[in-house]
Amino acid sequence: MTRFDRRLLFGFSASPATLREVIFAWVRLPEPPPPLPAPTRAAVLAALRAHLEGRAAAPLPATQGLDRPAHLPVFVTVYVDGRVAVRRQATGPTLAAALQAAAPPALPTAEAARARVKVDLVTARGPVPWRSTFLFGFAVAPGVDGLVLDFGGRTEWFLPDDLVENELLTGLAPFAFMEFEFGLAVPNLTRLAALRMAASREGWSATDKRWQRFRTEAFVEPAAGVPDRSAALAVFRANTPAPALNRTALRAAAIAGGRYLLDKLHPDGSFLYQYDTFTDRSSSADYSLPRHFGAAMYLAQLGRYTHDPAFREGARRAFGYFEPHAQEVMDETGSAALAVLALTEYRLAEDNRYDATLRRLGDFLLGMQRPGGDFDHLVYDRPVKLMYYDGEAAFALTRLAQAFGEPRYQEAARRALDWLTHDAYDHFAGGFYFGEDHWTCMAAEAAYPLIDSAQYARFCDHYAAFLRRTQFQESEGPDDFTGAYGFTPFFPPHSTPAASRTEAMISAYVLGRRRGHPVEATRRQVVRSLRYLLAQQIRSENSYLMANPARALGGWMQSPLRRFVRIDFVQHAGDALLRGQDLVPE
Amino acid sequence: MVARGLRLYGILNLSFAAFYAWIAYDVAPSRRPIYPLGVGLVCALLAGGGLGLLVRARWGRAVSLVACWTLLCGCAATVVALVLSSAYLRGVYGWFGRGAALVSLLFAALVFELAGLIPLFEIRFLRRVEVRDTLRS
Repeated sequence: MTRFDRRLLFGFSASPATLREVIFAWVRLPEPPPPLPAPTRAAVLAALRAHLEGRAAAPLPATQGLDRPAHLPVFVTVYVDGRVAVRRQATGPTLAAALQAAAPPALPTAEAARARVKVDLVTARGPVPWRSTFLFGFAVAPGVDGLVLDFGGRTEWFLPDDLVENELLTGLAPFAFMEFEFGLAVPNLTRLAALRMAASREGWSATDKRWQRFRTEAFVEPAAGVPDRSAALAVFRANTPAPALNRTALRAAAIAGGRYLLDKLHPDGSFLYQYDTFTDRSSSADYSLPRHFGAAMYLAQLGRYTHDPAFREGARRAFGYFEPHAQEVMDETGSAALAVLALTEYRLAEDNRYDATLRRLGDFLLGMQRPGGDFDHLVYDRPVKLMYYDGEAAFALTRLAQAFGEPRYQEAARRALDWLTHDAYDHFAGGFYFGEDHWTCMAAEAAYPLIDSAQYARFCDHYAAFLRRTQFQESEGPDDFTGAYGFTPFFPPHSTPAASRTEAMISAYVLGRRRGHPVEATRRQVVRSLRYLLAQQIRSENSYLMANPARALGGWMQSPLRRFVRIDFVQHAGDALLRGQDLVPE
Repeated sequence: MVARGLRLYGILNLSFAAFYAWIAYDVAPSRRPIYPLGVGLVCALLAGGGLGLLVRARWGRAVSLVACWTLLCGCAATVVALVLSSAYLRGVYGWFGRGAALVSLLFAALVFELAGLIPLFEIRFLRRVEVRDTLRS
């Protein structure tokens, strides 16, 4: 090797390493100071609330963490009905002085009572590659970073909550057919910033400007109605700490989910389909019949579990939606299958008043089954296949077989399960992946012991192992992602995939246990997800950004960044918590 | 030239044996036993052949040739299986399966690049007379 070769080799290896270090040093944020102790946070909030209520407040002592300098600003925000009613910012020689300077003015009594005071201490600030729209789109940790704009000598701060509230963190949706959005919505951010700066298009372009990102330490006071409002709740990604994981908490959360659905049930039996927590507005556009019956099934399940007549009555009201829409339901395998699941769930604990309807639906499903065991999905377009429908139909036939004990349902359910657990993957590539098989495993568990096969249990164990590879494990990413499913911490995961997969994993574990081969790794996988789901549920504590928390309580949002609730989010998560209780140690 | 080639292919065989094992047992495991068994056989042959070439043993050439032909046959079988899978997915799932079918075809192309090219070059190299003579001496 000549000297030239050696230099070339050295250059090739050293340049990327040097470049990496330079970029890393440029974009990284400095280490934040240690967080304020809990009693100090509580004292800060108590003092700020005194200001808010027009009471005399003792000055904050410059001790217990409040003696550190506040060169970067502190923000005190007063949220009323999810909106920023007051926001003040200050810097100071100490945090105590800065917080004192940022204290809010007194509000009318009723408003002050509803208000929630939140403190954001900016702990670090650093550059972002804002000149490139593409790079800027990926330059913030969503829900955790804020952005600050220096604009012609003026400074405007966008707290992490502001970016969440204005839905600026889901700017890119590369796949129109998937609910998969990520990245900073740079054009929308620019519009909002120009508005705040009162800059015209020309003024915006002509003015010197620079964006930077920053991180905060944040805490908020508990919601009104809590006996001790001085306890400070830490805030991370617009969420507060989760309740402790135990059976009582899971049961309470599952019931809260049911109450959410009852609140959204209309007199005609339909549900208010989608609820926006920011605006308190709702929409029932694109109403999905399978999801309607999924929600009805969950109410029936809660009725059976809690013996609370409100849930039973709610389920019956939701079933009332069937007859006026029977033709529509029996146009699609998925709608009919979910209707069967809902009605058979009701039948498990109540009476057989819906048997005639069940038989009509059963005949329809049998008519849709193909010779191989899978199903046509749409009456009006037979060749088309949709996600979930085969598994849903298998589950429905299983339930019909159990309800009526008729061999025709049992045989059809067996053929469907055989297809799902074998034939659907009977090709080379089929050994490497799984589709959306959560209904398959729920069907396999429900079928046992009436329809039993080692193949079903093996399939579900393999499915569980496959999913574990995409589950965020402890210390694998941000703590609040642990238990969710995703392939990178760049994109905050959604609640519903975690919920529906957990439903399936509970079934996989229970099926294994009943067959004498429980898989402990699957149980741990379930527990991890239950903790995640519990943390993501809307509670009074984490509802400070919501216009009408009472309407949102018990629901699950699509993600921390897309803050709307749909009925199926609640059904899947609620079912997972309800059935998952038994897998959590007492 | 021959010595350098033996060293290069010896190292490549060992490296790719490790790489294939990583892919098959960690990155993309299959739940069909034939796949890990087949890849295990290829890895063992490649590792043995690689070692043999590095110590310039005459059996190293023979084992490497067997490894390369096995790998080529495996590669061809995998590509054919992936193309068949693509057709199956498209046939069963229609429009919905089109994406999965396309992914299968892309993987088939990737498999050829990762497992088909090196054995072709190595077989050409090992069949040269100088290589045979060097190892015979």
